[in-house]
Amino acid sequence: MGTPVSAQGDGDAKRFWKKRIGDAAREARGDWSRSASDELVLRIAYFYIDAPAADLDNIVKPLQDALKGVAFEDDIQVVDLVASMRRKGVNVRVRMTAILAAAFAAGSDFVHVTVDRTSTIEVFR
Amino acid sequence: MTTAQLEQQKIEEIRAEFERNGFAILVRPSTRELPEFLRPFAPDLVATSPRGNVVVEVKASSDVDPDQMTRLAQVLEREPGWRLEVVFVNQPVAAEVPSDERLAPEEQVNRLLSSAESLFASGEVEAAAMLAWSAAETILRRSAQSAAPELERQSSARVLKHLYSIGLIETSVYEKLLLLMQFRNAVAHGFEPKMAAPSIPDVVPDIRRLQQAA
Repeated sequence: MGTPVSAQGDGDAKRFWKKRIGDAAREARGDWSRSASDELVLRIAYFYIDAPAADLDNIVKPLQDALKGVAFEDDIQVVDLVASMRRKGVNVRVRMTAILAAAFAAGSDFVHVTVDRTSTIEVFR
Repeated sequence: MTTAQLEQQKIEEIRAEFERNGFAILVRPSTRELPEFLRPFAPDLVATSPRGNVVVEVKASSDVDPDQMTRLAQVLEREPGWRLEVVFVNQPVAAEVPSDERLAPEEQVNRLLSSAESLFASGEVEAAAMLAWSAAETILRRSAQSAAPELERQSSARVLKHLYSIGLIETSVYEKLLLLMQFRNAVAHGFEPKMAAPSIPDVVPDIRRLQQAA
Protein backbone atom coordinates (compact mmCIF):
# COMPACT_ATOMS: atom_id res chain seq x y z
CA MET A 1 0.00 0.00 0.00
CA GLY A 2 1.28 3.51 -0.77
CA THR A 3 1.85 6.64 1.29
CA PRO A 4 -0.21 6.47 4.49
CA VAL A 5 -2.65 9.12 5.65
CA SER A 6 -2.18 10.55 9.11
CA ALA A 7 -4.72 10.39 11.88
CA GLN A 8 -4.62 14.17 11.57
CA GLY A 9 -5.67 13.98 7.93
CA ASP A 10 -9.02 15.26 6.72
CA GLY A 11 -12.15 13.14 6.35
CA ASP A 12 -11.88 12.37 2.63
CA ALA A 13 -8.20 11.41 2.74
CA LYS A 14 -8.70 9.20 5.77
CA ARG A 15 -11.77 7.52 4.26
CA PHE A 16 -9.85 6.81 1.06
CA TRP A 17 -6.92 5.35 2.97
CA LYS A 18 -9.12 3.22 5.20
CA LYS A 19 -10.96 1.84 2.19
CA ARG A 20 -7.65 1.05 0.54
CA ILE A 21 -6.39 -0.80 3.61
CA GLY A 22 -9.64 -2.66 4.02
CA ASP A 23 -9.62 -3.75 0.39
CA ALA A 24 -5.99 -4.91 0.61
CA ALA A 25 -6.66 -6.77 3.85
CA ARG A 26 -9.71 -8.55 2.40
CA GLU A 27 -7.65 -9.60 -0.61
CA ALA A 28 -4.76 -10.82 1.53
CA ARG A 29 -6.62 -12.62 4.31
CA GLY A 30 -7.19 -15.85 2.37
CA ASP A 31 -8.63 -18.43 4.74
CA TRP A 32 -7.88 -16.37 7.87
CA SER A 33 -10.84 -16.92 10.17
CA ARG A 34 -11.83 -14.02 12.33
CA SER A 35 -12.69 -14.90 15.92
CA ALA A 36 -13.57 -12.37 18.61
CA SER A 37 -11.71 -14.45 21.18
CA ASP A 38 -8.31 -14.41 19.48
CA GLU A 39 -5.52 -12.31 20.94
CA LEU A 40 -3.58 -10.76 18.12
CA VAL A 41 -0.29 -9.10 17.30
CA LEU A 42 -0.45 -6.31 14.73
CA ARG A 43 2.84 -5.53 12.99
CA ILE A 44 3.21 -2.43 10.87
CA ALA A 45 6.30 -1.49 8.89
CA TYR A 46 6.28 1.82 7.04
CA PHE A 47 9.06 2.43 4.53
CA TYR A 48 9.26 5.91 3.02
CA ILE A 49 11.18 7.69 0.32
CA ASP A 50 12.99 10.88 1.38
CA ALA A 51 10.76 11.80 4.32
CA PRO A 52 7.91 10.17 6.28
CA ALA A 53 4.34 11.27 5.72
CA ALA A 54 3.58 11.54 9.45
CA ASP A 55 4.69 10.49 12.90
CA LEU A 56 4.46 6.79 13.53
CA ASP A 57 1.65 7.03 16.09
CA ASN A 58 -0.47 8.97 13.59
CA ILE A 59 0.07 6.26 11.00
CA VAL A 60 -0.87 3.36 13.24
CA LYS A 61 -4.34 4.44 14.34
CA PRO A 62 -6.01 4.78 10.93
CA LEU A 63 -4.53 1.44 9.94
CA GLN A 64 -5.85 -0.30 12.99
CA ASP A 65 -9.25 1.31 12.55
CA ALA A 66 -9.40 0.10 8.94
CA LEU A 67 -8.61 -3.48 9.91
CA LYS A 68 -11.48 -3.69 12.37
CA GLY A 69 -14.14 -5.85 10.89
CA VAL A 70 -11.70 -7.28 8.35
CA ALA A 71 -8.77 -8.80 10.28
CA PHE A 72 -10.36 -8.72 13.74
CA GLU A 73 -13.67 -7.92 15.39
CA ASP A 74 -12.58 -5.49 18.07
CA ASP A 75 -9.51 -3.32 18.77
CA ILE A 76 -9.25 -4.90 22.22
CA GLN A 77 -8.08 -8.10 20.54
CA VAL A 78 -4.83 -6.36 19.50
CA VAL A 79 -2.74 -7.10 22.58
CA ASP A 80 0.61 -6.59 20.89
CA LEU A 81 1.39 -3.73 18.55
CA VAL A 82 4.74 -3.51 16.79
CA ALA A 83 5.35 -0.54 14.52
CA SER A 84 8.47 0.66 12.74
CA MET A 85 9.27 3.21 10.13
CA ARG A 86 12.45 3.52 8.16
CA ARG A 87 13.71 5.25 5.08
CA LYS A 88 13.37 2.82 2.21
CA GLY A 89 16.57 1.02 1.28
CA VAL A 90 18.82 3.07 3.55
CA ASN A 91 20.83 1.09 6.07
CA VAL A 92 18.04 -1.31 6.92
CA ARG A 93 18.00 -5.07 7.36
CA VAL A 94 14.83 -6.75 6.20
CA ARG A 95 13.52 -10.26 6.31
CA MET A 96 12.58 -10.22 2.65
CA THR A 97 9.56 -11.87 1.11
CA ALA A 98 8.43 -11.68 -2.50
CA ILE A 99 5.72 -9.19 -1.53
CA LEU A 100 8.24 -6.99 0.26
CA ALA A 101 10.70 -7.27 -2.61
CA ALA A 102 8.07 -5.93 -5.00
CA ALA A 103 7.28 -3.09 -2.63
CA PHE A 104 10.95 -2.17 -2.27
CA ALA A 105 11.30 -2.15 -6.04
CA ALA A 106 8.35 0.20 -6.54
CA GLY A 107 9.07 3.91 -6.51
CA SER A 108 6.84 4.93 -3.63
CA ASP A 109 6.32 4.70 0.11
CA PHE A 110 4.65 1.56 1.35
CA VAL A 111 3.18 0.08 4.47
CA HIS A 112 3.47 -3.62 5.22
CA VAL A 113 0.94 -4.97 7.70
CA THR A 114 0.60 -8.40 9.26
CA VAL A 115 -1.87 -9.72 11.77
CA ASP A 116 -1.10 -12.94 13.65
CA ARG A 117 -2.34 -14.76 16.70
CA THR A 118 0.00 -13.75 19.48
CA SER A 119 2.41 -16.25 21.01
CA THR A 120 4.66 -14.10 23.17
CA ILE A 121 4.70 -10.70 24.82
CA GLU A 122 6.27 -8.67 22.04
CA VAL A 123 7.50 -5.88 24.27
CA PHE A 124 9.80 -8.29 26.08
CA ARG A 125 11.18 -9.90 22.92
CA MET B 1 35.12 4.31 3.90
CA THR B 2 33.94 3.30 0.44
CA THR B 3 30.62 1.57 -0.15
CA ALA B 4 32.47 -1.67 -0.95
CA GLN B 5 34.22 -1.42 2.40
CA LEU B 6 30.91 -0.75 4.14
CA GLU B 7 29.47 -3.87 2.51
CA GLN B 8 32.42 -5.97 3.61
CA GLN B 9 32.23 -4.63 7.14
CA LYS B 10 28.53 -5.47 7.29
CA ILE B 11 29.15 -9.01 6.00
CA GLU B 12 31.69 -9.55 8.77
CA GLU B 13 29.27 -8.21 11.40
CA ILE B 14 26.52 -10.51 10.20
CA ARG B 15 28.86 -13.48 9.99
CA ALA B 16 29.90 -12.90 13.61
CA GLU B 17 26.27 -12.56 14.70
CA PHE B 18 25.18 -15.81 13.08
CA GLU B 19 28.24 -17.65 14.40
CA ARG B 20 27.40 -16.51 17.94
CA ASN B 21 23.94 -17.96 17.43
CA GLY B 22 25.30 -21.35 16.41
CA PHE B 23 25.02 -21.16 12.63
CA ALA B 24 27.54 -22.55 10.17
CA ILE B 25 28.54 -19.81 7.74
CA LEU B 26 29.55 -19.67 4.12
CA VAL B 27 30.64 -16.26 2.85
CA ARG B 28 30.30 -15.81 -0.91
CA PRO B 29 29.97 -19.57 -1.40
CA SER B 30 30.92 -21.16 -4.68
CA THR B 31 28.23 -22.73 -6.82
CA ARG B 32 29.09 -26.26 -5.72
CA GLU B 33 28.76 -25.30 -2.07
CA LEU B 34 25.14 -24.23 -2.62
CA PRO B 35 21.97 -26.32 -2.73
CA GLU B 36 20.63 -26.56 -6.25
CA PHE B 37 17.86 -24.02 -5.79
CA LEU B 38 20.43 -21.36 -4.85
CA ARG B 39 22.88 -22.01 -7.68
CA PRO B 40 21.34 -19.43 -10.08
CA PHE B 41 22.11 -16.79 -7.47
CA ALA B 42 25.36 -15.66 -5.90
CA PRO B 43 24.41 -14.93 -2.32
CA ASP B 44 26.80 -13.01 -0.10
CA LEU B 45 26.30 -15.24 2.91
CA VAL B 46 24.52 -18.50 3.72
CA ALA B 47 23.95 -19.44 7.36
CA THR B 48 22.75 -22.95 8.21
CA SER B 49 21.66 -24.65 11.40
CA PRO B 50 19.29 -27.41 12.48
CA ARG B 51 16.81 -24.68 13.46
CA GLY B 52 16.72 -23.02 10.07
CA ASN B 53 18.74 -21.54 7.25
CA VAL B 54 19.25 -17.98 6.12
CA VAL B 55 20.44 -16.45 2.88
CA VAL B 56 21.80 -12.95 3.39
CA GLU B 57 22.33 -10.38 0.67
CA VAL B 58 24.33 -7.28 1.55
CA LYS B 59 23.93 -4.57 -1.05
CA ALA B 60 24.21 -0.87 -1.59
CA SER B 61 20.63 0.05 -2.46
CA SER B 62 21.77 1.51 -5.79
CA ASP B 63 23.18 -1.93 -6.70
CA VAL B 64 20.10 -3.98 -5.92
CA ASP B 65 18.56 -5.81 -8.86
CA PRO B 66 14.88 -5.78 -7.90
CA ASP B 67 13.96 -8.67 -10.22
CA GLN B 68 16.77 -10.82 -8.86
CA MET B 69 15.75 -10.02 -5.28
CA THR B 70 12.13 -10.93 -6.02
CA ARG B 71 13.14 -14.19 -7.72
CA LEU B 72 15.37 -15.15 -4.81
CA ALA B 73 12.60 -14.37 -2.31
CA GLN B 74 10.13 -16.47 -4.31
CA VAL B 75 12.55 -19.40 -4.47
CA LEU B 76 13.20 -19.36 -0.74
CA GLU B 77 9.49 -19.08 0.07
CA ARG B 78 9.11 -22.47 -1.58
CA GLU B 79 11.91 -24.05 0.49
CA PRO B 80 10.87 -25.06 4.02
CA GLY B 81 13.30 -23.90 6.67
CA TRP B 82 14.86 -21.19 4.51
CA ARG B 83 14.47 -17.44 4.65
CA LEU B 84 16.02 -14.40 3.00
CA GLU B 85 17.43 -11.35 4.71
CA VAL B 86 18.49 -8.31 2.72
CA VAL B 87 20.77 -5.72 4.25
CA PHE B 88 20.81 -2.38 2.48
CA VAL B 89 24.11 -0.63 3.04
CA ASN B 90 24.57 3.02 2.24
CA GLN B 91 26.78 5.94 2.77
CA PRO B 92 24.87 8.42 4.95
CA VAL B 93 22.00 9.87 2.92
CA ALA B 94 20.61 13.34 3.53
CA ALA B 95 16.87 13.81 3.48
CA GLU B 96 15.53 14.27 -0.06
CA VAL B 97 18.79 13.15 -1.65
CA PRO B 98 18.02 9.97 -3.62
CA SER B 99 19.45 6.85 -2.04
CA ASP B 100 19.08 4.53 -5.02
CA GLU B 101 19.73 6.50 -8.16
CA ARG B 102 23.14 6.66 -9.79
CA LEU B 103 24.82 9.96 -10.62
CA ALA B 104 23.83 11.45 -13.96
CA PRO B 105 26.01 10.46 -16.91
CA GLU B 106 28.28 12.89 -18.79
CA GLU B 107 25.77 13.22 -21.60
CA GLN B 108 23.13 14.52 -19.18
CA VAL B 109 25.57 16.93 -17.55
CA ASN B 110 26.62 18.35 -20.92
CA ARG B 111 23.02 18.68 -22.06
CA LEU B 112 22.02 20.47 -18.87
CA LEU B 113 24.87 22.95 -19.16
CA SER B 114 24.01 23.71 -22.80
CA SER B 115 20.36 24.10 -21.92
CA ALA B 116 21.26 26.40 -19.03
CA GLU B 117 23.18 28.65 -21.37
CA SER B 118 20.32 28.77 -23.87
CA LEU B 119 17.73 29.47 -21.21
CA PHE B 120 19.81 32.29 -19.74
CA ALA B 121 20.19 33.84 -23.18
CA SER B 122 16.39 33.75 -23.48
CA GLY B 123 15.95 35.51 -20.15
CA GLU B 124 14.80 32.39 -18.27
CA VAL B 125 17.18 32.95 -15.38
CA GLU B 126 15.44 30.75 -12.80
CA ALA B 127 15.25 27.75 -15.11
CA ALA B 128 18.85 28.33 -16.22
CA ALA B 129 20.05 28.36 -12.62
CA MET B 130 18.16 25.14 -11.81
CA LEU B 131 19.77 23.27 -14.69
CA ALA B 132 23.24 24.74 -14.17
CA TRP B 133 23.16 23.79 -10.51
CA SER B 134 21.92 20.28 -11.31
CA ALA B 135 24.92 19.76 -13.60
CA ALA B 136 27.30 21.27 -11.04
CA GLU B 137 25.93 19.06 -8.29
CA THR B 138 26.53 15.92 -10.34
CA ILE B 139 30.14 16.98 -10.85
CA LEU B 140 30.63 17.82 -7.19
CA ARG B 141 29.16 14.49 -6.07
CA ARG B 142 31.36 12.69 -8.55
CA SER B 143 34.39 14.43 -7.03
CA ALA B 144 33.17 13.40 -3.60
CA GLN B 145 33.06 9.74 -4.65
CA SER B 146 36.84 9.64 -4.60
CA ALA B 147 37.72 12.52 -2.27
CA ALA B 148 35.13 11.89 0.46
CA PRO B 149 32.86 8.93 -0.33
CA GLU B 150 30.81 9.39 2.84
CA LEU B 151 29.63 12.75 1.51
CA GLU B 152 28.41 11.62 -1.91
CA ARG B 153 24.76 11.64 -0.79
CA GLN B 154 24.88 14.39 1.77
CA SER B 155 23.23 17.75 1.24
CA SER B 156 24.48 19.80 -1.69
CA ALA B 157 25.71 22.53 0.65
CA ARG B 158 27.74 20.06 2.63
CA VAL B 159 29.32 18.54 -0.46
CA LEU B 160 30.21 21.93 -1.94
CA LYS B 161 31.66 23.30 1.28
CA HIS B 162 33.66 20.21 2.06
CA LEU B 163 35.25 20.04 -1.39
CA TYR B 164 36.18 23.69 -1.06
CA SER B 165 37.59 23.17 2.43
CA ILE B 166 39.89 20.37 1.25
CA GLY B 167 41.19 22.48 -1.60
CA LEU B 168 39.47 20.90 -4.58
CA ILE B 169 37.66 24.13 -5.50
CA GLU B 170 39.28 27.55 -5.82
CA THR B 171 37.85 30.35 -3.73
CA SER B 172 36.54 32.39 -6.67
CA VAL B 173 34.79 29.35 -8.13
CA TYR B 174 33.42 28.35 -4.74
CA GLU B 175 31.86 31.78 -4.28
CA LYS B 176 30.18 31.60 -7.68
CA LEU B 177 28.86 28.10 -7.00
CA LEU B 178 27.62 29.11 -3.56
CA LEU B 179 25.65 31.98 -5.06
CA LEU B 180 24.26 29.69 -7.78
CA MET B 181 23.25 27.12 -5.17
CA GLN B 182 21.57 29.65 -2.92
CA PHE B 183 19.66 31.19 -5.81
CA ARG B 184 18.61 27.77 -7.03
CA ASN B 185 17.55 26.65 -3.55
CA ALA B 186 15.35 29.69 -3.11
CA VAL B 187 13.65 29.10 -6.47
CA ALA B 188 13.39 25.32 -6.07
CA HIS B 189 11.72 25.57 -2.68
CA GLY B 190 9.21 28.23 -3.67
CA PHE B 191 10.88 31.36 -2.32
CA GLU B 192 11.84 34.66 -3.88
CA PRO B 193 15.66 34.82 -4.01
CA LYS B 194 17.21 37.62 -1.99
CA MET B 195 20.26 37.70 -4.21
CA ALA B 196 20.58 38.71 -7.85
CA ALA B 197 20.42 35.94 -10.43
CA PRO B 198 23.84 34.43 -11.08
CA SER B 199 25.48 34.96 -14.45
CA ILE B 200 25.29 31.59 -16.15
CA PRO B 201 27.83 32.48 -18.89
CA ASP B 202 30.21 33.39 -16.06
CA VAL B 203 29.83 30.22 -14.00
CA VAL B 204 29.38 27.51 -16.65
CA PRO B 205 33.05 27.58 -17.82
CA ASP B 206 34.11 27.00 -14.20
CA ILE B 207 31.66 24.10 -13.94
CA ARG B 208 33.10 22.59 -17.12
CA ARG B 209 36.64 22.90 -15.71
CA LEU B 210 35.52 21.05 -12.57
CA GLN B 211 33.95 18.46 -14.84
CA GLN B 212 37.31 17.87 -16.53
CA ALA B 213 39.03 17.48 -13.19
CA ALA B 214 36.41 15.22 -11.56
